[in-house]
Amino acid sequence: MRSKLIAIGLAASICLAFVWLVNRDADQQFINSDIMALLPFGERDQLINTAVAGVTKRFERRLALLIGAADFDTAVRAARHVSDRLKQTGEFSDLTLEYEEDFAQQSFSFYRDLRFRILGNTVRDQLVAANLQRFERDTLKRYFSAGTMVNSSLINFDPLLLLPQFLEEREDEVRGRPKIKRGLLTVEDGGKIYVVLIGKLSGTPFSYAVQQKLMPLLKGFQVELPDHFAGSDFVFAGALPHAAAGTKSGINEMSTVGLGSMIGIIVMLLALFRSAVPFVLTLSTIVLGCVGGFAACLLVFGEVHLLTLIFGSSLVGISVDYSLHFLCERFRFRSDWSPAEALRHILPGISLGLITSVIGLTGLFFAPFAGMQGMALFSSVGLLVAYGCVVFAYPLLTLRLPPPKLYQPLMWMRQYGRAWSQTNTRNMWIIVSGFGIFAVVGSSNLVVSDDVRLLQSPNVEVVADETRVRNLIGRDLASQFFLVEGNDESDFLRREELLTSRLRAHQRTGKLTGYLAISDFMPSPARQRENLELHKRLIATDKGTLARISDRVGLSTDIQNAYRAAFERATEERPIDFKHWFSHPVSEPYRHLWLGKTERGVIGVVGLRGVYDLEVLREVSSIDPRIHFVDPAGEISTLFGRYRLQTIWLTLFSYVAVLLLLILRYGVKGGAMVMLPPAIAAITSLAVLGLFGEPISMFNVMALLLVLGIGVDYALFYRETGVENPETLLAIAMSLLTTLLAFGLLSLSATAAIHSFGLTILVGISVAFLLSPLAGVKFGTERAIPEGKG
Amino acid sequence: MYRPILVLAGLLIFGSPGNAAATLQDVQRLMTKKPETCAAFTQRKTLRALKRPLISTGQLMVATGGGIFWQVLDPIETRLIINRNTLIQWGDNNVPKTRDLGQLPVFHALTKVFLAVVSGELLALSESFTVKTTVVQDHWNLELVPRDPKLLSVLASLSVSGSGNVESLSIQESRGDQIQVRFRNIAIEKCKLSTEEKRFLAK
Repeated sequence: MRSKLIAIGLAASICLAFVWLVNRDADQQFINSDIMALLPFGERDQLINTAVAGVTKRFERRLALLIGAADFDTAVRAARHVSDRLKQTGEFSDLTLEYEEDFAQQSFSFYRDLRFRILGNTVRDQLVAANLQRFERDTLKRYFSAGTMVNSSLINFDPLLLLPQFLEEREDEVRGRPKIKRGLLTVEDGGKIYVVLIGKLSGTPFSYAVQQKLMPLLKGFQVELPDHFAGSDFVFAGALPHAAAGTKSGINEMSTVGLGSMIGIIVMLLALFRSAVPFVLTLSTIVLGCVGGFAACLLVFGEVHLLTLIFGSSLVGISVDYSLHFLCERFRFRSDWSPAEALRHILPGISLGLITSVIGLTGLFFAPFAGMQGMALFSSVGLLVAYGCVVFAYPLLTLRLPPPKLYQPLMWMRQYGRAWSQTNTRNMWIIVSGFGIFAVVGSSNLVVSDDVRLLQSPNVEVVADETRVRNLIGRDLASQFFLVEGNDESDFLRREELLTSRLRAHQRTGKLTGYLAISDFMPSPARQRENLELHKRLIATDKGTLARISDRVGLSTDIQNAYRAAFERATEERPIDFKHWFSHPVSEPYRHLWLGKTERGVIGVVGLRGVYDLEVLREVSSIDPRIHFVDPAGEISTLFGRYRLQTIWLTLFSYVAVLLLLILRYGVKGGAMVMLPPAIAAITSLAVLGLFGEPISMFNVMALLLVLGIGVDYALFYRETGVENPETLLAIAMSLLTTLLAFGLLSLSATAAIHSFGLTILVGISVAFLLSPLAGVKFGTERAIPEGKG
Repeated sequence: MYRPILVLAGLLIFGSPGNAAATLQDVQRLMTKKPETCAAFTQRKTLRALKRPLISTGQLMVATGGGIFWQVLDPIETRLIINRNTLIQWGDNNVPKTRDLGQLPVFHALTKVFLAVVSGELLALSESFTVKTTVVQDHWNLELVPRDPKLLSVLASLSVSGSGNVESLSIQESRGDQIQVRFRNIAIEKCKLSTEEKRFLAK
């Protein structure tokens, strides 16, 4: 009775620890669904990593909402309704509806005062190349064209019409199709007018709480809005819908896997025992294992990743093995049931099983992926708890375990075991080599994929909405970008100008649609001096460009002279300061490009649109060590490739380590025979993937670690209890069924990585099971040694 | 095509909405409507800041669907296309660029009036302008003053006149500059468009 209390006390304390950990900080999020959080940072220095993380954070928190209606007024009312409702949630740090209508006017007057220090890029390039003919022709076009903003007041201070050229060019880079109409950003499309609402979330879109709060509301707008505002229509895009869809499918998969294997276990145990005790015990063990694993992850990492839970929930399924081995002993001791005796019988097997599984999982712990480490911890602790339950609690709780009712499966297993033990060595090797040939043929078809999309399976609806928003806004933002460092603001601008001059060259050859850089709006002091110099060449002499254009259009000498005088005054002024621009409203749309101070100086972003040649852009960054090209998706793929190779070595290492351990216990031959089934199983599972044309990635290689862990388990039990031991075979068969169920369900996952992980294990452990009697086969002198147990 | 009929029906039911509209109707009757128009034009911009007016000549085409192709041939070649609210302009280095017509209020008003007249949707004009009409025999003249105070601050008045077709259009800017365009209808074949231009016009 006292021991029972201890067992219950232990279980209760695990649960309490879990409850305490979860409640430690009520606002904290425990389940992370950000796939990228699983991944390690790139191989750049910490400062750049921080900057990249900062940019990513800004990107993923943005949400673009478009509210359309047949007429402007309805659209505005609907947009206000949406904006008000969203503001009430308190989840937005910024939700801009109204814009400064006079933004264009503000820019005009801000840059008018600086007009000799700025130049549009097209004009600048013409002037730098001394292509004055072209410049003159373009200027005359501005005077004579029908649609032109030329008027007397402009000519009076800007007779070369350089300011409109500069502003138009900036306008082209910044805004896609949306225009400001009565203070609102709008797009017209297909007979409808859309109000564009840009929101910034105050928290990460990967938080389950944020998703729960916002997604029903946003989805609701898509349904309800047309009822409240006739003909209205709502579409939105951003990282949030992607994250929410990911979480939803993750949770679905997790519950499918969890529920599926639980039902499998219940059905199996009920069929065998016709009693509730075995499955209640088993399920409690699994739940305790999961709770223990979850608690350990919270303690070490502070959160549990959704993928860890998905992988982990099936891994803890392995822990059911220990329970099953124990329960199947009830077949052996029918009349003289003694839990202590049963435990003694299986203890060596499950202890060695635990050690080898943990070795296999330790391999995962050294895997470079944070999520994999979580998975290793989750599973190791889960297995340990399950082992503890079986070893310490089962003997006390199963004193009155009813005898099994269904013996048929035991008979089948006995026949299967006999078949193996009666097979002669030659036939055995024929089977083994059969698998070997299949493995070689299959493996030769293997293809490799390290694509980042392995971890992401975008939701079709979300992608469709995103495409619609992108088409409406008319902007195709690339996921790649540049980071530019500088000692200070001026140095930063100077380096950025070096970069953008290269980018413009690639833009002309169609390798890039466009870019967005601060220095285009705020030239460096050096560039300001250059611009002054270029202006000077245009206006200096009486026979220069200004004079020639004046002749053609009839500019008075007064205006020319006034312009020259204004220029002279401007040269004496100090260059415009970056901080002045940054604090002025005109910089507002571009401030997100500025990341601010670092320990090495300052850093900012250059955004890209329509990237058609990654290699060329990558090369551009080599012009300056402080210019960095960032391609998040590409980097992850490269990392996946590298880690695939690393995990292959890791797996080989684990296999060798387990082999050495087995040799230590069973000698060279015995060890090799125990190792043979999982080894063949591993290669066969690769072969099946090859034949199915499923590409392999690091995730398959990691699955092989588990095939090792589980496969060695099966082989070990055989080796420890002998071939003629149907109870062991039955326990293994049942554990196989539960594991197959768990991983089989995993292979239905929508996420490519999880799917192929599940499939590899499915094939691997099936083969490991079928071949596991090999481990029990004794050769020559070994056969003579009598087995004590069995 | 349907608009005038609808408006006419409206007039029958509700009576005359006012003198301007009634005479706009008269003007409407005087106009010949064609799905496509090709015209030669002479534009005269009189800017206070310049010693002499900027004079340019060229061709203009109104395509079915309401797009305008506006081409200056002399003294320098420039091209632009207006489609609904966008303007495509072959500007620096002859690269086509899309502009927001809202940023060129004067030119926007000009094209709006021109299109309304050419497409026979005169009545729509009284939404954004107060209209004064004079008809002398088969010759008509419309004096338009913007209703929107913001537009009025840059554009003082606009006048358009013609007989069968639009013959002249002139703009008085609030700050004293003037633009005058004279049109002369020519054979439709003269307005030849390149494939690129056709593509932009069809958009």
